[in-house]
Amino acid sequence: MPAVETVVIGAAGTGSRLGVGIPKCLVALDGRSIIDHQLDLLADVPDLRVVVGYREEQVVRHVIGRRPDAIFVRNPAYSRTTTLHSTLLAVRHLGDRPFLALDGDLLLEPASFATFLAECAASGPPLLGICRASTDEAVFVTRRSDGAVASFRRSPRGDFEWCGPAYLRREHLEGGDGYVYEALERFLPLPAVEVVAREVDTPGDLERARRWLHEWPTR
Amino acid sequence: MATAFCIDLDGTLVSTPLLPLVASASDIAEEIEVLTAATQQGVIPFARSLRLRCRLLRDVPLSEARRRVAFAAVNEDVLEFVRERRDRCFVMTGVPDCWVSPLAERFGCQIASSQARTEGDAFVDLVETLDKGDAVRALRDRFDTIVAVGSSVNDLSMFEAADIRVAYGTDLAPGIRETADYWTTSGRALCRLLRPL
Repeated sequence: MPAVETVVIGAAGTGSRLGVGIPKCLVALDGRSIIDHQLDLLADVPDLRVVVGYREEQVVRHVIGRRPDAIFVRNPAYSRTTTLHSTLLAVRHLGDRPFLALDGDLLLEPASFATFLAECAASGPPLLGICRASTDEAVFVTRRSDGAVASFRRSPRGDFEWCGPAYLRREHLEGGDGYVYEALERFLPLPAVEVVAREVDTPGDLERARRWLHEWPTR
Repeated sequence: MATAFCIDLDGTLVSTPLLPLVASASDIAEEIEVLTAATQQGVIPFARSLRLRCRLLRDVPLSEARRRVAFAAVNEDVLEFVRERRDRCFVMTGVPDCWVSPLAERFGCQIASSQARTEGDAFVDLVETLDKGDAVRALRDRFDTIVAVGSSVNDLSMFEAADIRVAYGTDLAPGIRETADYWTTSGRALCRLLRPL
């Protein structure tokens, strides 16, 4: 069973909805940044790529303290592009090798993420990680009886949201326009498994994520 | 057609700056270090600074300069990458040929460098300063994709002429990071990035 070899963390955005003045991936929860929590979970991933833009030097210097072997992909147009553009920049020279895309503002419960990684390796791309809806401005999903994502929607709210994890090949994003979920709509239905995670987009999300962190069974 | 890799010598393939290494055989090592740092920061134009530093180092015997350069600390991961692709890797430096020749022998590859006039065991003067951008453009008829890797102020012209730009290291000259597509700070990461290109 091949393990997940390449992970792309999207950490280019300004986090304007959160409004904390630092890249969202560096926002601290429980004394450690979100990306530190992610790097803990990605210690065995050999090919780590981080897309940087807003205050890129700050992100790079933070990450190389933990992962000097990371590759940083620059998105100079971070203020006017979406995660779709950032991820495409990161994988444009990757050929047809699969990669796991993660948003740099996602807090993942370790045990469920380990299960998700194993499922990525076992079933191959495409595979989405969805979670119980909790964030203020989510991309909600409807599911088929077999668990696959049948559709994405911004409203009305649903029980599950797609919070960003996606094990893909470049072809799943190339030619897409707008947001990642809009590019993926071309391939629906998409297999999905549940992960326990919280995305941090707004001050409300951040407060909930801080409380939630203390509830992890694996702490 | 294939991909060519144009790799900066001073700061990427070798981690010890070469002119300060030559200067360590003189009594102006600190002055050369200051000039080198000011050049990297863009305070002094590169070509003028190189000529000045070379002239200041004229008293260092060639044999002594070569002996010191020969033992420059090497990034082994990058050297292995270069050796595996000798026909597609082009090592480039502004440092004159008379000083870098021991590295070309040690690495077993060609190094495109500035040209110097020598007499016996002495460096006399710079004859021609390598423009890395021109060196990249000279490869155009043989390669359809050119990747440039660098960190120094004289790598900017190489970046302008290349198709894919990779900033390397944490001590980057102004403009290098801003024009790069990728940024890596370790030889392992750099080679992992370059291999599939």
